[in-house]
Amino acid sequence: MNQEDKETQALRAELEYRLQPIELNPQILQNVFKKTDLKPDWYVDFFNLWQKLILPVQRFSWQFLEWIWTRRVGMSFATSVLMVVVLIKLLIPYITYEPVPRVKSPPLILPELVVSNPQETAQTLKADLAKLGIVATVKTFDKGWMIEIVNLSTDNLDALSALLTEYKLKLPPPGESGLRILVVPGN
Amino acid sequence: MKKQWDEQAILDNIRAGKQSGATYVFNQYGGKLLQFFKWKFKLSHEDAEEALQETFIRFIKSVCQKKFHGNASIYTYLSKIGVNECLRIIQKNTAYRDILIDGMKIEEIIDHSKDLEKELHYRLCVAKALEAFEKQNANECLTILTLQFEGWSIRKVADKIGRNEGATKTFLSECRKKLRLYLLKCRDESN
Repeated sequence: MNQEDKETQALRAELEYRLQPIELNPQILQNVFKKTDLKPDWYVDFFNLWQKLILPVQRFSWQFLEWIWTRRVGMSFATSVLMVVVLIKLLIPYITYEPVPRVKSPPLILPELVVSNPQETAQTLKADLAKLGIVATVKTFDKGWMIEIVNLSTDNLDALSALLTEYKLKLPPPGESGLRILVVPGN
Repeated sequence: MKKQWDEQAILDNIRAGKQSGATYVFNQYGGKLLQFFKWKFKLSHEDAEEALQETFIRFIKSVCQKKFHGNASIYTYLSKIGVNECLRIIQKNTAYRDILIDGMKIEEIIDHSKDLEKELHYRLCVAKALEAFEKQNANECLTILTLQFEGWSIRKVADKIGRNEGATKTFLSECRKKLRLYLLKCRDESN
């Protein structure tokens, strides 16, 4: 093929290509960048700028360490740092905030038990609760008696429920750990 | 603003680890390389894409490792790598064993790879020359050259551009003369 033919062929190919250019698969270029580790221009520029900013800080840190070393103050500096660390370790238990466990107080509206003999009923209920392992205190309150139970938890919840039903009382709602019952005189 | 790329700016951009220079080269030559790989080496579309991908990987690595200094043009280097990649794919794939390239079997064509490189180089050089020609000259010049290559008669071209036949012939001749100046570089490079 002579020069003229080569030229004509190349010209024809290019002009044909211009009429119908090939749409390139963008994945090819992505694969090329992945394998050659080329990054977007903005990323490289940002990285270079960051390097420029961080370099003086790094240089200063090294100069400071070098200064410590050349002035032979390295040991005393290290001792001071160590002492500060030990002091912080020792003081931490005193300065750490420990939240006080919050005890939820029993509800303000007390379930009322109206009986002819309040003191006796209160004592009997206290004894019945004790059989289930629940500690209750009985004290006078206004015209009657108040049974106060701080911790109502028991292994036998069914028995406790039955006992309270016997006295026409109900278990407190879930989340309540204690119970106060007012026993008042009446018919 | 669109960046004006010259070859040195492209190489500097790639060496800085950036993507835009390589993207520009890929957009400028990628399609032409793919077309050549499919047409000349009769590669399937997938294999031609693989050849294109490997060509660009090798090109970028050479630029980054400073194996390519820029003393030849980028398309010269791409032609060299591209032809080698195509031959590699043809050699490793048995499906291409009986294919003839320019009437030669694969074993013979390897010895003539320089001719293939020259052909591809010339193809890419012409593309670049046409681009420069288009920038400097009226688009009409390129249009009538295209029409003539497509086999249009002078009369038909004259009707299309709204001139008489005599004026069209003169205009076509002037366009060819101008274009020849741009193609001189490609002739010199290929000799």
